[in-house]
Amino acid sequence: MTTSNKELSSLQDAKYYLALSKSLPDAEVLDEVVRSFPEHAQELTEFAIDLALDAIGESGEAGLASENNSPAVSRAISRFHNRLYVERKAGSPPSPPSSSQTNPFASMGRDELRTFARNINGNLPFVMKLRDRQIDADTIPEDFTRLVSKELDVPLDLVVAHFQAPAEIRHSAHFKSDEKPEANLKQGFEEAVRNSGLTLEQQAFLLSS
Amino acid sequence: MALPALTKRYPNGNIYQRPAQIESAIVNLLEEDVEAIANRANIHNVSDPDYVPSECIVHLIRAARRRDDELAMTALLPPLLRRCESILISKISQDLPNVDEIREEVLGQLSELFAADGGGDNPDKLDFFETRFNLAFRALRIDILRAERIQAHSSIPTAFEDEDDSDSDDEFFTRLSKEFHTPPSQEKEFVLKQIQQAIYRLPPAEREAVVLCCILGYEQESDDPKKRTAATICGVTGKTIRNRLRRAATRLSQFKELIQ
Repeated sequence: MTTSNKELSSLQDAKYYLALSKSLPDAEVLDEVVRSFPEHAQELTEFAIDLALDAIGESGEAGLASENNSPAVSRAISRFHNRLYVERKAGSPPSPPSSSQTNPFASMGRDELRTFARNINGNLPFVMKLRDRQIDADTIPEDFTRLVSKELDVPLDLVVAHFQAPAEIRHSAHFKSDEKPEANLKQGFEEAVRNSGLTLEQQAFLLSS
Repeated sequence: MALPALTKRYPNGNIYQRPAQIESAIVNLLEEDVEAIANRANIHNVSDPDYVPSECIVHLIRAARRRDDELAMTALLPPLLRRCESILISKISQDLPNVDEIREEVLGQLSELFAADGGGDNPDKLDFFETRFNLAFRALRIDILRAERIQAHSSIPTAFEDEDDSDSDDEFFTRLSKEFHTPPSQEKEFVLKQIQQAIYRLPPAEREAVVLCCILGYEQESDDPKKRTAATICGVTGKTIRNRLRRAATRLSQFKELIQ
């Protein structure tokens, strides 16, 4: 790597560089970035292809935005407050909270979470509740805990400890920053199954475990 | 009044800079109270003299975050997110089965960037959004979409790699490339959107060949073994690229008249 390449500190920065260089990316800028990150050539090329396709026919700003917050915007604001709470709690300067020591899901990306969801006949929202310990451990069936242990390929004790730990708050719980998140926000297993957008078949499978 | 410099750097080491008009607009906004700015942030017509560019809103939220000004953050984040949502509604296809979840994830990740600004592995990532908001937001959106996207089922049959060696329709693709690189009129924008959707529905290998050659501008192949071409990128021969382009041209033939 050259000195200038060191400044391109991450693959993510490379993607943003691609996106910001030109409204419609071209071979010149893509080749430049790929030379800096030859190990990520395929990822960057595929990203550039999606960027280019997305930019076709674009004339400027998007259409009118609502003057009221949609549910999606409200939930995003909740995520902001949740994360802000965690960042403040962690002190200044802010840094990402980490429970990776005990959370067997901590290192999993979304694709891995999706795969895991399929393997347990669940879906992503349900798995995120498991990841963020939003389900009361006492209500989780033992067979289901064993299934999670098997699919995650981690010791059963670790999964039990994870479920019994306080709720993880940084990702998807919905409350304002002035409301301290507590473990008692945890749902029962059945409630979590019923309220995760699972199909009836998936619910039946999970509740039969 | 000098604004604090951004810290994110280009590959050549230069620091990203806000456009001059954005710096100027931010300086002017600093004279206003947050409620007035929040009201102006609800204006979506870019030609309105009170319109506030999204880059400015990003700067003001970050500044509020640094001084822990909850009131300002709470006032300015929602209008920015509503703008983003309107972009997502127009840019993420309703055909995707999990479209609502994807939109929500994009908005959520953007929100968390503000909360975590100044810390973590990428503490100055929002510099990109202060520089060119819409392009940075596109990068965020596409990164998430790429991870989330479930391959839409094509209504067009999947191609097979035949050994036919007839020429690709170079004239058609030359015209298509020209259209892609010309600012569209309202009518052309509609046509290009139709073509865009048709390209999305192409089999992946054909889609890749079309984008590499017609949009990104790669040559199909080259005698120079060191040169990146569509063939080297896809790991196939130039003949295969030509075949893919020819098949893609057949599938896109309904648009030939529209781009003449």
